[in-house]
Amino acid sequence: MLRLRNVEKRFGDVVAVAGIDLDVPPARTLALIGASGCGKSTLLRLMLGLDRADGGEIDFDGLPVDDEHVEAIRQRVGYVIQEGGLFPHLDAAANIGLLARHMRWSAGRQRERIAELCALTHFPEDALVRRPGQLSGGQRQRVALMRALMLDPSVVLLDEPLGALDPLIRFELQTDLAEIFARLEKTVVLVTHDLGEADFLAHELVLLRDGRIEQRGDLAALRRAPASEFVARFLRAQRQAADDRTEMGA
Amino acid sequence: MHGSSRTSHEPLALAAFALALSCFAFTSAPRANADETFTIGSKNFTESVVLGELGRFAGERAGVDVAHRRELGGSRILFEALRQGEIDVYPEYTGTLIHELLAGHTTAIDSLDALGRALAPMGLAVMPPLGFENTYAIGLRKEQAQELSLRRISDLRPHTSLRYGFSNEFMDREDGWPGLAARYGLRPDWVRGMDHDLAYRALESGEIDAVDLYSTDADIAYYDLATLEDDLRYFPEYKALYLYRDDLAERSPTFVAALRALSGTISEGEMVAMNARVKLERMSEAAAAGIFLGVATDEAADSFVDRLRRTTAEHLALVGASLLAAIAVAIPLGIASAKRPRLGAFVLGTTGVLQTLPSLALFVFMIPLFGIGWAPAVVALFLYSLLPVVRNTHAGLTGIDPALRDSALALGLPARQRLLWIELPLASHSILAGIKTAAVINVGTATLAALIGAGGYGQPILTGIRLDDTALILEGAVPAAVLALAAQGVFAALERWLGFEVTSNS
Repeated sequence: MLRLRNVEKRFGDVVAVAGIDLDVPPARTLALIGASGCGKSTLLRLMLGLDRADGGEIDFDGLPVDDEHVEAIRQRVGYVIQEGGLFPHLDAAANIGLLARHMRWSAGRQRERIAELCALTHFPEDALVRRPGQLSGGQRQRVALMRALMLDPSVVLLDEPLGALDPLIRFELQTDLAEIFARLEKTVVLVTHDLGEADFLAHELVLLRDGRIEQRGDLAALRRAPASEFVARFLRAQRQAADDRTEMGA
Repeated sequence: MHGSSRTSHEPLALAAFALALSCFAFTSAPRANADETFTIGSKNFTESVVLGELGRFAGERAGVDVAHRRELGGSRILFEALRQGEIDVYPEYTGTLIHELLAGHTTAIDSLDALGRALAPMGLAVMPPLGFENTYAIGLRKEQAQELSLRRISDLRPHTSLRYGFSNEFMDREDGWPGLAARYGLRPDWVRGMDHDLAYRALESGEIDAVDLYSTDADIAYYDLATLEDDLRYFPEYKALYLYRDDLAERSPTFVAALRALSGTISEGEMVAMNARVKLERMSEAAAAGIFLGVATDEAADSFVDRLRRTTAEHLALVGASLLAAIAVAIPLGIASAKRPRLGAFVLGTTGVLQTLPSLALFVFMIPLFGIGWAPAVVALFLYSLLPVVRNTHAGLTGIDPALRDSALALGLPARQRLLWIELPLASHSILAGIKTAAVINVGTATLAALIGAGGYGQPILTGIRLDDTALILEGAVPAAVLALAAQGVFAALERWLGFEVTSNS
């Protein structure tokens, strides 16, 4: 579905992505995980052509991500970022329907599809007329998810989609997301720094460090056979943090 | 054969041509007289306006349609307007022509004939002088002049304790005080430069003893002054005369003859009397000119409401046209500037420089390009309005949150849709604020447009300053202020109506 070969990206002297090879198989959820600055968000932006790679190849269903194809590829990919990136001057329905409007969908067809999505994402339909400023943080992320799913894309990219939410809402939305991904059989790439969230939502984890892939596999495999001292340390640190949270909650 | 046929047709062709010409001459000549309106201009001081009205009456008495474009500004503006053909004739002074307008002329101009020869290459000509001179003079309180028996400038020489207050221009000009002092050997203990009107008041209150003045100023009678004779003929001649485009002689010989008939008919005393009627008795210039010519001036003075309606319409037309044009040009320019940083630096720099030009200078620069009146004023105001709108469009677009910009990109919307649906709406607050700034500046700056004959609220202000009439000044200043506030209010309401908060996502 998505294929990256020897992809590199530098910002000035800083190497953000240092020669990554990655295949994302269809209908699977892959989590890119690592400390901040490891290059995981950049990798997602490179897939969408929001940043341009300095070397290597990225293609999407056989189409290279270049000037000629990038717009068509973006239209077939849903993208959700932290805080949602909703347009403050448009109400929720207009935010969701923006691309469909460009595709000249009829108003009726748009309404119908948005109603479907509201049911899927558990979003109250009467809140569709609100602008982002009048929605809660969780509602905003649901709107952002609906916007990403509007045209039923085959691939969905999520960059820390739950990063700014408080724990309760975060848990609720995690559950909904897992259900939605399972039901729709989308190809999903999720960027997160939270090992628990990655494990909960994804089939496979890809652990990044300094722009390179440190290890790939499910959490059990990573625990069983960490590929490096770094992986072992990362797993320990995350478990410690999770335990602390549990204690505090108890 | 060929040749002979051509010759045989020649007389016929000539006859047809002659016939056509005579028809043209026959039909067009009277039409020109009947339909064409000729334009006389005047400068921004009372005497010039009175002479403009005199010329208009003279033309109308002879059956010519004459429009008087009053108070167009200074000598340079009138001279340029005349050369451009915006006006056909205006009253001027020989000294101003020779020492100011033709100052670069290579050979000395020492006679009216020489003046005519210097003007001919520009397509201009002068009529014989009207009769009076309006030259620089030195004035004192009459009782002091009698007390010291001062009649001529030479008489001042022994009285070194007299205090002199001269207009700043007179202090600096080569044909002003420095040359005067040298010619007459004057070495007074106390000389200062000051505002001309304030000098009159200082003279009246006895703080100074002598001022420079124009010999036909109404103030001479008003303040009861004595003027000293220039016995060494130091000051150049400032004979009043009509300066006109020489094609006027063909286009309306009647009008030229009517103006020419005024030559030599106005004495200095008569001119002073006309100036005094306007300045001191608050008579209209038309009425003062009418009394001199012995014609009834039937025109009823505009009512306050009529004047306000007219100046408001003129002002709104200036502001509206220039602002709409500026919006239509500046928003695309601002968009292009935001998309291309190097172009942006150039555009912002250029519009910034336009903004720093003194507004009066910008208006005057427009005259050679667009003449006088509405068009050059609109162009000048348009140029002034560009910067706020370009700058705010640019700032609004470049200030969009990068996350939102990426969101729009990631959706796969083409550039046009991103601009129309997302970027411009997000920048709309800033753009609207720019338009508001432009509108408010524009309303104020448009009051200067009256200086180049475009009317508006500047007209009563200009006339009010000239006549020292505060009520008239307020008649322009108050509506201009109200209009600026109204513009501010309208745009504030628009902003509220637009009503979303750009930062509401955080």
